[in-house]
Amino acid sequence: MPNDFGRAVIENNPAWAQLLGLCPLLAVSNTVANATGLAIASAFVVIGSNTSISLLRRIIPDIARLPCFVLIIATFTTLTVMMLEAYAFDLYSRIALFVQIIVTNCMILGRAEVFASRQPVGRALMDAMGTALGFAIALLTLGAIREALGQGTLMDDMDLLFGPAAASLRIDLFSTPPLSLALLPPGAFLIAGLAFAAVQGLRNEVSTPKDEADNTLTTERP
Amino acid sequence: MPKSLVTGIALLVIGGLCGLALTQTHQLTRAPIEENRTRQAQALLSELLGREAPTNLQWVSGVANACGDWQFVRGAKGGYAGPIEYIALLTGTSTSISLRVTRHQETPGIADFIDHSKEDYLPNLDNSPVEDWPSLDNISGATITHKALRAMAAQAQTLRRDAREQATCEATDA
Repeated sequence: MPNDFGRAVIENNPAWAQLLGLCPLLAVSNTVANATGLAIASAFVVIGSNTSISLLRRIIPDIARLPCFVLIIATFTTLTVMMLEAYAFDLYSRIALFVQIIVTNCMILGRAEVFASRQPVGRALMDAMGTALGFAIALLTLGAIREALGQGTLMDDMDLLFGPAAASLRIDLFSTPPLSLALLPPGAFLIAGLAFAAVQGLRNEVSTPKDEADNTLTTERP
Repeated sequence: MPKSLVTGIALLVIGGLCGLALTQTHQLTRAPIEENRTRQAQALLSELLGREAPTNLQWVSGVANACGDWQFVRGAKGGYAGPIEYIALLTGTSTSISLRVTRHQETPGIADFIDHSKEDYLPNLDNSPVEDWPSLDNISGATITHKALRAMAAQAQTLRRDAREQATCEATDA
């Protein structure tokens, strides 16, 4: 079971390895606070929906499984939206649109179809937690780089998420932001592209000769 | 039991569970959400008015304080990605207008100019007639959104005029 968790975080990281959920990843990773908000919201949805789908897997009709998955994911997304609007209104105002489109996030539907609908609750829960953590790592990494370069700070506006006491978490790195472009959509694409390349480079470094042979076979397949 | 009946019952159970979860959460969050929205709307009205806005405004057909020196008008117009809701302040009988968008689903980034919390485009136009608003060329890539803003301003004027006529105010619009 711990293997499910580790595999979901690193080997099958939804963002870096599978390139899933890129729309919210690029759009909401302009600051650490926004990235944290979306990471928490996505985690709630993926953990809740994976667990529910695994629990209900024996009664979900096979011919209507995808509509059922979407219904369950939409329910958890709506619950998240309501909770955010009720208890973190300022953050909700900033990231509401991207929380609502979690329902179409193929990362979550993918885990439901491939894993949660075929495995017992314990394994589905571990996989969901790993997927959520992997997505959170990707979001926070990108958020930290973009905020540092584009705004010259780290963890600004954390009070929107964790209350007034969290305002002191802000760290000022640069008096003048070194790359304002990092906050804008083109900056998101550039930095995410460089991050993907770095992760792929690392994966190639640590891959075994057997893996390389497998990769060669895979790429040579017509 | 026929397979289709089993499938139907299963779908009913799943739908019912989802509905139950949504209903319970709605009950739990309804009060704080309403409080947040009221607080936000009150802050917006005060910002537009330049002083504390009355808390007991009576809205009739989308218009508050129809016969007063100023009127708040709220409405919605279609944008690129659905309705854009707004609140406008109109003063006296002039055509000058101050307008804020309260809810929209326009493309983030491209349509940020209508969000007063992100850009000063709308605050910079406060108390100016719509005819004096900058031309469309200034807003590259958001043609429909920009047209919706002008439509909102026109709708606000119409709603205000209708409300004043309906309320039979002593002074009528010019």
